[in-house]
Amino acid sequence: MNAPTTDSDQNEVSAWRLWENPVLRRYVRSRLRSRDLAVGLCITLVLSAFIVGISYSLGIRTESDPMSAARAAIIPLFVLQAFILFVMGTAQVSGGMITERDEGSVDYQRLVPMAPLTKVLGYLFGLPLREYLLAASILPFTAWAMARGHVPASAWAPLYWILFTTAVTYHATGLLTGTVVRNRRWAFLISIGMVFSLYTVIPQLAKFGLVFFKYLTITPVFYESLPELLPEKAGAALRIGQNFFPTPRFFNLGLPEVVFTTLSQAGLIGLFVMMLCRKWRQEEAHLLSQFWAVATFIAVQVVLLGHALPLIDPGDLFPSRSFRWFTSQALDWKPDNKEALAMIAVYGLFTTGLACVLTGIVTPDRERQIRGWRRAFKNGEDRLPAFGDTDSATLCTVIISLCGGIGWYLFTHALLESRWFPGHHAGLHILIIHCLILFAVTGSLQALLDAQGGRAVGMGLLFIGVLPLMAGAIIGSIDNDYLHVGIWIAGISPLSLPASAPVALLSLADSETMAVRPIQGAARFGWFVWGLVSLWLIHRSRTHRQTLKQRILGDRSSTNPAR
Amino acid sequence: MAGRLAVDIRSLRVDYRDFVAVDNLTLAVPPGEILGIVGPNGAGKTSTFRVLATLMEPTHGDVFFDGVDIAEDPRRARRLMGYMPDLAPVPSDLKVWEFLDFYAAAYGLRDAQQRRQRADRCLETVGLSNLRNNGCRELSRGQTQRVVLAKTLLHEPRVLILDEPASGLDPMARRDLRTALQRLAATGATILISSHILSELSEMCTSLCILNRGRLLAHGSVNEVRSQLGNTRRRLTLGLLSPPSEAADWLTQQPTISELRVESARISFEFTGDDEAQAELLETLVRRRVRLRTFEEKRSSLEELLVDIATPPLLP
Repeated sequence: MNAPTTDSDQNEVSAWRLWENPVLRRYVRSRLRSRDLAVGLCITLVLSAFIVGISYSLGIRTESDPMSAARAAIIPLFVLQAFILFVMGTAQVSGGMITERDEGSVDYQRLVPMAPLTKVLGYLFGLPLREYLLAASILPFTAWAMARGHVPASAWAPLYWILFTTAVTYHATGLLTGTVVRNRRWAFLISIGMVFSLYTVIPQLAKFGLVFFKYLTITPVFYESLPELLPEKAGAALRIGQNFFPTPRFFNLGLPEVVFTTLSQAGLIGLFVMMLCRKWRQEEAHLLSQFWAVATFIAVQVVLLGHALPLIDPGDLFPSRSFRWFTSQALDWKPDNKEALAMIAVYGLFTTGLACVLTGIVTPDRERQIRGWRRAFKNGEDRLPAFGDTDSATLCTVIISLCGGIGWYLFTHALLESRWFPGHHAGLHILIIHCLILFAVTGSLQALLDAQGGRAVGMGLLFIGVLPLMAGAIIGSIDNDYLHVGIWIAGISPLSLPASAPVALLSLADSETMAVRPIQGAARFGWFVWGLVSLWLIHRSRTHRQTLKQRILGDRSSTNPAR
Repeated sequence: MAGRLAVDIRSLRVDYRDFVAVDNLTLAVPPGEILGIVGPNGAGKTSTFRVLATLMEPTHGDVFFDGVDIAEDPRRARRLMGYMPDLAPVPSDLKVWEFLDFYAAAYGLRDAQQRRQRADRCLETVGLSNLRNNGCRELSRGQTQRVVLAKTLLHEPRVLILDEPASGLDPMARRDLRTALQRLAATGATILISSHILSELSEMCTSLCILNRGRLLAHGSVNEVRSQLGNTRRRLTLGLLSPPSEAADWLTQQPTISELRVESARISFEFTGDDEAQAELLETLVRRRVRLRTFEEKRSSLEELLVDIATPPLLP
């Protein structure tokens, strides 16, 4: 063997010099091999030529205007590019990563002294390289159609930029699931599920006041550019329709759609990349540190409120407003109290859900706690590093509950004290109860995870979280006489707390309505019971941690040799 | 002390929930040594190797490479160490040179010429220079193992951790691998190797360590390992000129002798005494006027040793 290599002759590749990234170059070699690429390229080119040919000839025949006829090809070509990048690209990223992990190559990669960010960027842009090239091969056809259709750069440039950022967002999603989820089949399903949710389910929350979520998709920029991309008559009609749906502005800052979509997606990509880097640095690390979990939670609250609050006074936040634009009742429209209650409940449910997900991420399991204690003792410490991966997440949960409670309260306050609901007020007691509800749910989850592990939480979620809701729904739907029984049974579930809180707390709820009184009773009983349960579980988890600490201290003094 | 040893493992413990995979393992390996780690399935070899390779954090204990604590400075430890896992993967979509070039670049060799030279040298070390331009998917199992070994050598590690490197290799390839490893050890590299082919290990390794159920049973040269395990059992065969019955009667009364068999002019038996006791036994036989024509000793092989260790005692 040669003389041992010194550190000086091994220079790490900078993460930002993508063209020198070994992982990317590895995929340039394997994924752009001419023999394999040729087939895909031929199919794409033939398909693109067909789309342009058929759209243009049909356009000429129907529109008899070359400009509008050329524009007819733009949307189908764009859809083809989006399909290649979003569907094929994401499948390639997630599937490729799963294969790398299955084969054990990831372990090899973990050992090479490259910065985690270099590896993440290498995989993120390397795995879907062929799909990028296939999508790019369509560009000459698009360019011809746009030039012929006199599409201004202000329409196509933002759209293609967002096509790229959305593709990277989805690829990052695929990469994260491919890296994190251990089971191959689950990884693929979850990856598809997450991308599907980002496309379809999560943007639907925009209809319930969480407007921000549509910015995670290409939709806002696509609809903004659409009138310029369609044949002239259709474009003009769409432009009139768009005036009915004003664009939400983040805290009235007036950022263009493309800028805000870019920022929103960059935030999500940044979050995913951070998670991936942590996993590359140490396989057993949490996806997020406690600090970043809190920061992420606060950021989400800020963007949710930033988009929702300015839309309340004009009334554009209310779902019923959108439906009424198309009816004769548009002028005398007024939001319904139930609508506001539902929106507040959805906000609370989403906030609680996100708080639970982040709490689950930052709560260390038993193995991790043991390792943390052993490491602390090894370094001569008798406490775990504060806010470290092995430290108890109780404080983090308290901060998240507090921030979530404030966000939820601000949303409730803005709705309740808007011009639409005169005479209603949101007192400070609502803020306190919102915080307590969030803490009762997340604190119980954290304490249970900490002391008993994920299996106990899964069983608890099934038997205490979901089953009472199901049973309550069945019993309540039998007959009106059984409605209050069903509501009380559903009230056992901690998941019902954020949903029932607006009805129990706010003057918007009409106490003469049949269901309101039992909901109020069940909610108040639930707050009391779950408040006590969470305190008891937190006490148990603290005792458990102390016992674990003493046990490991005992093990150490009995087995570890004097150093 | 940590600075002088190539590999220093102290009180290593690996738990998988309530199962203890490695239990309080302490090992010190000096530079240039080829240490074979032997044990039945589930002995804790792979867990130990994964901790050494910094792929897994131990539940407890410390590991040092050339004095570097791998838990505190894993990046430096990774530069010092080369790890070859069991059933090492190679990407089927790359050629052999592309595979090596990729890892050479990943280890920070920026100059293409330098990467090429390093890859060629490693391929030569494992005897695969002629397959440089072949696709990885065209390689046989043995060739794949050697390509992965070449990859492991790319950054010229001082400590090599090889998990079952000889599995699937034909005898010729095994011989080549053995030669390559001995050549590497001669340059000062320390090699930790696990294998089930124990005869291979005893020929190749300068020391052995036996693990069972996570515990270290023995560590040292082959003979030291035998005596540490209390395995002094051997089968002795005596060829006689005098009638064997008289000698056989006397031998059956000795506590260190069992499973005695008499075949015409030959007696064979299991002997559990040490070398000194064996010399005394022969001397006594001669004194008792037993006329010895031949004498043959057969010790139990390492495989038999391992089977003995791995086989749980029958319930009474």
